[in-house]
Amino acid sequence: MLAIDVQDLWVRYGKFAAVKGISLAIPRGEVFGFIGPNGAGKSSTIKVLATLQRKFEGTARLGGVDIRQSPDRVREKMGYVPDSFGVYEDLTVREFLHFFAAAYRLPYSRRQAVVDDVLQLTDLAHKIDAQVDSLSRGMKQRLSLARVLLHDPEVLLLDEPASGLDPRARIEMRELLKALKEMGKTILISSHILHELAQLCTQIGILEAGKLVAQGSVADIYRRLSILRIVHVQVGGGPTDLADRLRGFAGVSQVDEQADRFAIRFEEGSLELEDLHDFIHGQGARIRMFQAEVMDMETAFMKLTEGITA
Amino acid sequence: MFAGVTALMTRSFRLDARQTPTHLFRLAFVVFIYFSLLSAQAQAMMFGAPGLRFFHWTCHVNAVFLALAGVSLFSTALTEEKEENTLGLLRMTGLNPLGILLGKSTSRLVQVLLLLAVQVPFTFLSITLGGITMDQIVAAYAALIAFAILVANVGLLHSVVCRSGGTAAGMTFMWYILYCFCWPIGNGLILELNARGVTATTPTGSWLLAIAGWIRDANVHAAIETIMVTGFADSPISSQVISNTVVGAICFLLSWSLFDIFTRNLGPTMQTRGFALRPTSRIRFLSPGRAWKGGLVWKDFHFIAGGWPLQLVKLFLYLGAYPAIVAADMYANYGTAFFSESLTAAYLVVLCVGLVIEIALLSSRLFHDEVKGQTMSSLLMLPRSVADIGYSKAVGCLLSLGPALVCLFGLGPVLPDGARLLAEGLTQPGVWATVLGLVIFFHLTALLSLFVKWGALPLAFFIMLVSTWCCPVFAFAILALIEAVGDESRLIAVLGIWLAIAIVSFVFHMMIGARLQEVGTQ
Repeated sequence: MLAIDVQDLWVRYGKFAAVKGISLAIPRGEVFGFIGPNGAGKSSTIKVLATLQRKFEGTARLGGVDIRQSPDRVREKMGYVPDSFGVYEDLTVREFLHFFAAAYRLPYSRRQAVVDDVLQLTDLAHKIDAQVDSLSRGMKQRLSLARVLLHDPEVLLLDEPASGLDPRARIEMRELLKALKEMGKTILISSHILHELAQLCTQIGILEAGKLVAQGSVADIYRRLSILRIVHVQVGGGPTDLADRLRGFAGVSQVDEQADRFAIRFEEGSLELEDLHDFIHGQGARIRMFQAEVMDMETAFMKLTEGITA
Repeated sequence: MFAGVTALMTRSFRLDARQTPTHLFRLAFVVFIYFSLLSAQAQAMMFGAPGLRFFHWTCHVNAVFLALAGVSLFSTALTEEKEENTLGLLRMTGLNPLGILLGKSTSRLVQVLLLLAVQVPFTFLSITLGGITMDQIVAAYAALIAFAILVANVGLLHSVVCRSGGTAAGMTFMWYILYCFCWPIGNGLILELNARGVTATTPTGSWLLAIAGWIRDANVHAAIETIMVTGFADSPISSQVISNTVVGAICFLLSWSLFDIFTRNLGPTMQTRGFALRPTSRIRFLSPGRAWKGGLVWKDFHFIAGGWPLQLVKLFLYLGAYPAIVAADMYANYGTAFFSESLTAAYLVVLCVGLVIEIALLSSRLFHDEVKGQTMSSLLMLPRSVADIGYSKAVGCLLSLGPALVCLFGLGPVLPDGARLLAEGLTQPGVWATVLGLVIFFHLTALLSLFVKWGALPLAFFIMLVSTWCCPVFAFAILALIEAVGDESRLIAVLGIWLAIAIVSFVFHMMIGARLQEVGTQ
């Protein structure tokens, strides 16, 4: 069964259409990255799935439940962290989480254990008696995530969870999301930090002016756009014409000779990394470094979008 | 400096010109004047001098409006910059404190004066209606403008001194209450001075009596009453105009001199927990503890309504009110009315007034804190309906009315004649008609708190005042109902009013629910 199933979704604010016929099919356990410029319709789509946007056309189901017909049941299956979130600043972390645990109708006997678990997971256990107001932005973001994990939802909707966070907080957030992915949660995440999405997401959807311009795995999108992958190789010894030999190797599109390394470019799917490694080794060169560059999502994004908004 | 001030003012005027609600509010004010004119014309058949009656009321409403503007508009002039952490940015532009104060306050003062200006052509019609002269109109507007200057600068002073808009608005409101008592305070001072043999013949006596006189005449409402006396031909520059303008100027100078002291170190501050004690407190049994089964009820009871500590304080105060009334009576009447019916009645009235004030304050905070903290979307994510969320929050706040209700219905019947007074009160259609008015007021306050940043309570009060004046049909209908049915059919009248309460509540609940959904989606 699909965790999220959206068919021909339209969201209009008066005469203005923010989302124009989007269709999404996200299986359980996937981490789906939503990419798009500001005003592309990401937040509007997420708000529909979060049952906050009541007026929309098309069908939207979450965990098999129709959002329009049973919003309360959908909320039991889902946790949503909005882009601009508010937390009760005057409560302590313990009071905040116990309050939401009670509001989610968790039995009193189970509450303490659940709160302890989510605090452990979000690495906030040491802040349990701190006032929410005293937490850093990154901690508040993690607390927001802890709040939505209290009722153990199947699906997590995260709207720009890393915006405004410092590098350390971003890395901590990424690690937390990886842990949630391993726990089998389905995550729909929108972000502007593209290379982080590329590392984390199993599927990507690129949205522009209310329309989905590309959807699929990162590798799929690369292949479709004919974007070249890059491998950085540093060798010791070997033949002097190694660059020429590499250029002649099947699948390699381009080899740049840099001061201390070769930058080898090839099309996604045209060459296996292991074969390239074996080839270089076979030429008698001793490999000091063999580093595949992280997928260049920025290039994909720029190729697919024109910077227009809905 | 002038370039900076002009830039601030221009920005403010542009924003004001672009905002539709401001124009709608001005239009509403003109509509109010129009209805007042119609009302005056209708009253001309029953009473004399309709122009005077119309203008008299308009002036008082204007004065109340100016006071409310002071509470909500002027007192937030600088606090909004403090709350949004933009005051530092303004300072970086090279604007000095005087420039910032002028730029922030003058534009608001002009906006309010514009509101007075739109009604001037209509008020001149009161001369045609009869009973008032041009001198009186000019004097009344001079009094109002002086009051506007005073209110604007008192609000500005509070906005400089206070950290948050809420505190500044509260301080300005308290100042206004004190200002309303200018006349009795000044008059009391004169009587006291006379009783002590202080006369105007000595320089000190003359000086003291002059000050007491200035205090007595400083109130704009008292000044309006003086101006509306038939045959008024005094100068428009009355002592009220002078005193209000001078005190306003002093407040501005104070704001200027205190600006640096109160805005120097504006670092982030910890959100206060109000009356909610920390779990580490020595009296932790009064702290919020673990959330109850109804989490929302628990949160609002402890963090909006004050929790157990405030309930204890209120219980102590309400219980102490009765001995205080008895003691005051013994002091004033040498105990002649001791344990009489009138003392119980006075105590019951005190409890009812306390209850009304408590509900009014709670209704202004019930949803406002969620809007201010942007937490509504988190609540709407709960697997509960908007109605469930709203009612749970209301229950949490209403629980805090316990002390007043315990005293009213627990202690009240035990006091001499208390049971009879309560029974009589609860079967009076007039009492229930008042409850109906209050129900509208509380709901209106809660609804407005979802729209405005600050001042939902005074705004609701103002709307109630204006609508009752513009549309007295409702009040007349209630009075007619009470008069027509007689003693035998009181029950029918009360049931009718209950039905009206239910309908009004239902309509307001629908509107509040829709707005909550909207706020959570934003």
